[in-house]
Amino acid sequence: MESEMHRLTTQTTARQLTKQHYDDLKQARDAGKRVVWCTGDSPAEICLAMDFIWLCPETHAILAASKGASRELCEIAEERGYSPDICSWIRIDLGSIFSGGSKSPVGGLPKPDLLYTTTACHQRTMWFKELSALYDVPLLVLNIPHMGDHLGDEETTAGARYMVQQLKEHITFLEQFTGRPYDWGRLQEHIDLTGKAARLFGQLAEMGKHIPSPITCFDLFGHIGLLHHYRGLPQAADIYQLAVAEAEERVRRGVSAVGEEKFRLYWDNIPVWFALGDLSRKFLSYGACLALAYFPFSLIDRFSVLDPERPLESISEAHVTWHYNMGTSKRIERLAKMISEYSIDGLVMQMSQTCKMWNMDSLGMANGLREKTGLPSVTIEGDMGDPRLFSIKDIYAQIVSFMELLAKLK
Amino acid sequence: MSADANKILDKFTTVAQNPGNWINNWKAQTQKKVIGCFPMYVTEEIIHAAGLLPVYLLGSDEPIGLAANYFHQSVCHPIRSNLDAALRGQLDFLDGLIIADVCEQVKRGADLWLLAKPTPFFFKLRLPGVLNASSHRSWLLQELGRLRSALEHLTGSKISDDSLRNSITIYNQHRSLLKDLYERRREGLLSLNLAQLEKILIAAMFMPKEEHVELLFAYLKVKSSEPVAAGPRLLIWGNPCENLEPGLCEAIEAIGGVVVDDYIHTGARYFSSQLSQGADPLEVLAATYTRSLPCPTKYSTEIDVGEHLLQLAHRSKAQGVIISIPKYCEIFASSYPRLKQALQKEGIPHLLLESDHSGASAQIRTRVQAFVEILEANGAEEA
Repeated sequence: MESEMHRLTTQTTARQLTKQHYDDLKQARDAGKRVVWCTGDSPAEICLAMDFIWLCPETHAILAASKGASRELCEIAEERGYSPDICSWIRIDLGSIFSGGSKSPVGGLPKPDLLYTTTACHQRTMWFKELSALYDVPLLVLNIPHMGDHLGDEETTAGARYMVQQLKEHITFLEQFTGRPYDWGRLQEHIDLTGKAARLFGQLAEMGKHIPSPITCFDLFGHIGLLHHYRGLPQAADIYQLAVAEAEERVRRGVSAVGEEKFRLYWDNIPVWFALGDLSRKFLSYGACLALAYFPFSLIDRFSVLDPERPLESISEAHVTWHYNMGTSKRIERLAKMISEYSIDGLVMQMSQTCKMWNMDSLGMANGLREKTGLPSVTIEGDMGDPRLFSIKDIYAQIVSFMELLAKLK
Repeated sequence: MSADANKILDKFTTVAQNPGNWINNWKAQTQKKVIGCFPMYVTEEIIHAAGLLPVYLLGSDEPIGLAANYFHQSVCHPIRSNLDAALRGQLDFLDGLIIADVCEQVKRGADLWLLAKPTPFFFKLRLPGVLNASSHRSWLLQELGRLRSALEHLTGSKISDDSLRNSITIYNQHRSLLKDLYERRREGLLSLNLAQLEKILIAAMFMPKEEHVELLFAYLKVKSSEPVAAGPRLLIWGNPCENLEPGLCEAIEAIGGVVVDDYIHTGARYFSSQLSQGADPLEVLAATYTRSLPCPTKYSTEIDVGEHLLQLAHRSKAQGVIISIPKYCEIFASSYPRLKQALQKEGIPHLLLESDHSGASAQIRTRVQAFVEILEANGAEEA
């Protein structure tokens, strides 16, 4: 199909590696390795250094959504009393657990020995509390002080210091839990690999600045899983290196990801994982390239600055200064700058109803970005995991009107 | 109820029914400043020690208007309604705002709130969501120190340790009186319906503590024992950041239910901590907070919200529990399955209600009626 012809070929490898990751998880568990479930932003490297295998239930939820399994999993969780207001990824994960893995696209996840989350998102903290009770395993929580719009360098430094103190407490716990001294050398290796992979992924994302762009954000969404599944491991950087080379080759040949590139758009918020194909084809039909999306930068921003010489400090500083640890005004400012750098014509503002972290101030963000950039925008209401909150028919109608408006403004 | 007790109750009711009005009069008389606190766990003692009046913002039940331009519909009611009230000018008596980032919504909504409605003084109190580790207590101590400095800067006066200790003493006295009030109700020694009780607590959230203490003390002295209504004994749990669904108290009591205890924002949640005194009053505040708080917004290995709910139910000899969870409050909604499990394990019937402040609808009334009737039937069987 036309849309697939313009995708980076490395996406096929990325998909294969995703499958491999879940196969490896089962084998690791069977081989007696300790398993830690981490949220995507948790410093998994801290545990990798002590020979844990890590997995991220959020990416399992994304996989379930993209494979069309999320609705049933949400319903299973809701039957147990979990409100439909709760984050759909949480309901998907709990639904998978309550179904004994039978409704999961990979047969479920291996039981954890340990859980690790941050407070970047309070819903995730609550999720992992539930998991801790369900599995009766310890939970480590990294509290990230929110900076918002009104705090400065002094508070940033104090916040990072607090986080380093917590990380040291977690390391002490891991020593007690495993019965051996902490392996600082391994931590440095894993941090180094994560940093390299994130910087390469960042290079790939920046390809979107080219006109025409050799990639769309759908390419980035298709590669983002590597930075979760292979955090701290060499495979992620290897594939990103190939993807960057492929994109650079396209730039040299003047190949556009969307054929004739007529419009360049910004995608805000978490991707609608169960409708990516539909959405990419719809935008493609207008020659619209989604050249910029913030979502990939949520990992690039936090992991590309990791420094093996200062592992705990660089982890802490990355979290405290992260984009979503800032307030509405600061984020509008930053996004407006990126939108200008990527020569964007219009804004696609997606709202995920059950994600408070990304959507609490999304109305304010949309208004602010429109005002700051002067660009037209369309708001797509949906969800990142629950298809019952998303009507493709309604979304198509909105996209049609939006693209007609953009055509008139050209 | 005695005439004197009625008069005191009327004073509480006057404040509770129109707190804005009451505060504007108070400000005109005293020329003092008022700091809005939202949504819970703001350390009022520090604000009090600064010579300011801390008040808890409870939003309103008017339909959301202007705030809909800033917060979409799936944002919780307390945030939307408070911003709406602010945009309508109903919170113009505030000289500042302190927000405790207890959940995702308030943590991220605060900055947008300020964009929509700037305030002369703003402070975000970043409380640890995790308890029981020394790093969190040190952090909170720093935050409380930062708050103290910010308030000193606002007022131009130092907040001494002695004035903090004095404020802690006054607040502790207030908590003790409220505990006494609640205990007498639970024991059937004091007849006060839930709506009246809520008025007392709402007034507490807006009046200077010294005044409320004086009235409460007087009330407890003159309030005679009266026969307490017979009927199924209920505990209400939930509504963490605003008052109960309008009309719910009346709906329960009209059908013969007797709410003997609660763990809600405009109720026992407000006074359940008791601070010890110590050499360093900020240490005391930090230590109290980072002890295990039985709240779904917190994570602690030492306390489980389900076990805590059972303790409350047993203490109050509740025959049934009403769990009132605000619509779009994902944190409290997440805790429901474990609350349900705990209650089912002990065979305590419960009713789950969703609160959106649109008023106790016919559906809610019907469900409450059915629940109370079941409890009555259970009680008759046991007899």
